[in-house]
Amino acid sequence: MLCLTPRFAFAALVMLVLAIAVPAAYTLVFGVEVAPTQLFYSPVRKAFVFREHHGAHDFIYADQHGERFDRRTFETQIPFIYYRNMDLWGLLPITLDGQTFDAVTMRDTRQILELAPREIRDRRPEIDVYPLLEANPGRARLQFPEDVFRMTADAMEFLNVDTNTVDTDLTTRFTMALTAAGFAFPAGLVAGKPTILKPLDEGYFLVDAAGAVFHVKRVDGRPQVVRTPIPTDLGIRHIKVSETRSRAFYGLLLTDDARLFLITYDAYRLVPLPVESYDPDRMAYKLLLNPMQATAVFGDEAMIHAVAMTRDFQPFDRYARPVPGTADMVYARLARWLFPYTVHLDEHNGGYLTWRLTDHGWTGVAGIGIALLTLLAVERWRRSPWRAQWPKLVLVVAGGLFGLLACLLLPERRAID
Amino acid sequence: MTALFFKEWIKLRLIWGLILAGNAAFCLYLFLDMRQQFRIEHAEMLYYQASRIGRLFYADLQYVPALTGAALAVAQFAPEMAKGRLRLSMHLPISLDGLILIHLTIGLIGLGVILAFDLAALAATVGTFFPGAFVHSALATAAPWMLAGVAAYLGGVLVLLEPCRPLQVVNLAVAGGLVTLCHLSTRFNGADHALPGLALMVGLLLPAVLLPARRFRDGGR
Amino acid sequence: MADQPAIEVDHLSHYYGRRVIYQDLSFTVPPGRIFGLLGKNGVGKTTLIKLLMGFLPPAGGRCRVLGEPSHALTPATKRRIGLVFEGHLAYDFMTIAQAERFTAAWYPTWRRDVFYDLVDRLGLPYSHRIRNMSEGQRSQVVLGLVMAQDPDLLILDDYTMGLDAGYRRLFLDYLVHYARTGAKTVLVTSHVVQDLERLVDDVVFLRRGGDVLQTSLPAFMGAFRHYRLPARSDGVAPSPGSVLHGVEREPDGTVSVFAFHDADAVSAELGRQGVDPAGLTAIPMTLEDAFIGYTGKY
Repeated sequence: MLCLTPRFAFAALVMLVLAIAVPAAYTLVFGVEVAPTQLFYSPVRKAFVFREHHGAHDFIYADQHGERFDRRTFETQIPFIYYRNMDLWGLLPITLDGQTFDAVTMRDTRQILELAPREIRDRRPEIDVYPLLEANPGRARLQFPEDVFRMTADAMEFLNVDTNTVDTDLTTRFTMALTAAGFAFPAGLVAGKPTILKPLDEGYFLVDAAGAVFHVKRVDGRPQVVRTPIPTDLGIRHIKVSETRSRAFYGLLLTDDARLFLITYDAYRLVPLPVESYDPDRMAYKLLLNPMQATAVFGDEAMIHAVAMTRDFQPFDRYARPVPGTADMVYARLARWLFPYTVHLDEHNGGYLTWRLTDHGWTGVAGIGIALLTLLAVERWRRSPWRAQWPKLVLVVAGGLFGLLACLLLPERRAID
Repeated sequence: MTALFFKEWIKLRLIWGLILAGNAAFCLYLFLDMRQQFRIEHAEMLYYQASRIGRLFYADLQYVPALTGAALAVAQFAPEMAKGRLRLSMHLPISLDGLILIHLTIGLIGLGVILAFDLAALAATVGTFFPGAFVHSALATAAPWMLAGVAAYLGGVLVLLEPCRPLQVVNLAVAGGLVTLCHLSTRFNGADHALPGLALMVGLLLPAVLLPARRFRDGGR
Repeated sequence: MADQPAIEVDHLSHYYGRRVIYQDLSFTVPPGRIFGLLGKNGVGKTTLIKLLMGFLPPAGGRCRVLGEPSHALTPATKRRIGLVFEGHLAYDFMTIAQAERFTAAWYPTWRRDVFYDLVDRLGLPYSHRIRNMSEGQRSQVVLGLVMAQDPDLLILDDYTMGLDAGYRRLFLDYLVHYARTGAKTVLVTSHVVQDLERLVDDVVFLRRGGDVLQTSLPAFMGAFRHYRLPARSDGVAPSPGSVLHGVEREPDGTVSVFAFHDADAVSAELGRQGVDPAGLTAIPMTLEDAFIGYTGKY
């Protein structure tokens, strides 16, 4: 078998290592970092404004109609984002559409909800053991309980963290409460925000075996379980809980078919958000809320989209613009000729290291052609017999420059074998 | 074949025992260190750090398998390469590839026992203080490190057998590259999806090792 | 089978880069003979041994051992060949007993008695580690191992290296006894040429550029002569040619002449060259003298 000949195995291995290392080294030497574009809806200007990075220290601040401004002007166009600077500069309170806001109201009424690809449950590893915080701690700060829970096939099982043993009492109480509310074991998704670095605790949203969503909290040490009216056939992929003082929304809910909803405090109503062009596996979704309007912003390396909405989430304006990126820079163009493809092993858009193959289209194919011609020239110069060359041809066709380098690093075969 | 096991056993038993003892001492340190953490900090905070912040209490373990693999490769093949002693075995009535593969099998068994010990000690340590989910996570997190041990062993052999100095450097770079790839993830379970591809690359080392062996037999040309 | 040559070197050529070691080397070692391979440093003796032992594939021509290409021996044929590497290479992490046990496993006709007969003379416990032995002691263990293997063909690369006179003699005596009684083929190189006189039937002289002379030892010693011309004031010396194989001016002014001819033929040739043959005397030679005479001092 071809792949088992030592020479071929060695050459293939060298080729693979080069396919990862060479582009990484190339980027390290020649690469340019470009920050993603920041896009907002300005309640002052009634237009989208953005900050765009063109490499090095070249930032552009402008609005969607092409008017440019300096950084400070830019920040004053989005006062709910930069309210602290505004305050410092003495520009607060500010009156917009007849409403007046000072720094404190701005702080308390603005909210940012975000869902990044790497946060989605199936895109990152998680240890399925969670602390259930006391929602009524009776003190200023939240604190961790001395137990954690895990969802087993038929129970919400609590474990004492000091002894690493099951707390049967707590387990029974919470399991019974869940069962009483109609929870069907085993649980699907467990969604919460297990940290004490938040103003309050809203416990966990549990999706049961039938697809129903339950809300579980620990209040004064006792279970509080609500079976929510969220439809069971929604196909829930992820729930991101993010507690805020305003107590308007529990968080975001993402479905398998990439619909995104806000979950309201008011009867667990679902508010649909604009998702046209949104791909949850590649794009971070940002929802900026202020008393004037809501803005959804999402995008990838190529394009950024924004949708401006009223406070009741009715879209009234949209804008999208290409992200400058690095694709057109000389080093990136040259790379597309040099390398037939790039193999990445990184945590791209998730918490797992994944193998990614970026193909370089027709330039990559042309690069393979050049590598092939180089190989033939070298072998002709070495006067190698043609018959012995086909494994090398396979490598160069498969690996372009990487295959060529691997072939050149390979020790020459002696005449006899 | 059993004779080769006999030879390797005589050659390696002392150093293998020392390496195993070193690993055992390290595992004991890991256990005591974790126990100490649980003495000075609240367990619930440690749970939080381990599961949410992504702190790896056993991160010190990550380069131990690679060092073990490299040490075993040196212990096994340095005496063979000194004065070209491997020629003694190469003249034995057995094929060259068979000879090398048996040596590698023996080395990999020796390595496997030590790495299995490390994993068992890791599971026991984590399992003492944390529930099962943490144990599973720790084992999965340590899996690419164990693979790095195999890569370091086979890569070490690849380097040691090669008779030509510049090619030794190439082989060292390939082995170093593979070991580095196995250590890319710094999170728990981070390499879960990368593992099959990594294993495939490390697996390629096995036939690749026969190349320098043949070149050594053929006088390094 | 019986008439198959033990070693067959046929139009062998070898190069290191562009440097030619030999281009058309041929010789044959018939079975049952003890064969000495002689040559000064740098004539490719080591390369030839590597080729014969199978640790170098030939660049051109053929090199067959017991009927198989030396570089691609089947395990069955390897079993019939014993190798003693330069420096008496052994797995020195083993004890005497372990080395015996390890090696025995590979050879169905292993002769344990032969090994221990030889090793017992060292007076060492079997648990003695080879690493802790002197070069001489180790050479006996190595010889014991290769003799117990009972091979049809033995190839020894410079067995004398590192041995003092006593161990050299011990080694040699055993080797001769073993080869003679077992009708073995032996190919041996040594830088102590003198030893080979007691051992070999045939010699191959290897000279620079792959020039090779294969002859039986008695025939060579019978035909190759050393003559001496007294010191002369005119300093005229003969030049080597077809009759005079070699001419060496000695430090005391006398001239040594080496030839495959009797005194009359040498005198005639000297006369033809205008050198007075008066005082030409034949000198008895050892193999070492003959070797130097044949290959030249430099």
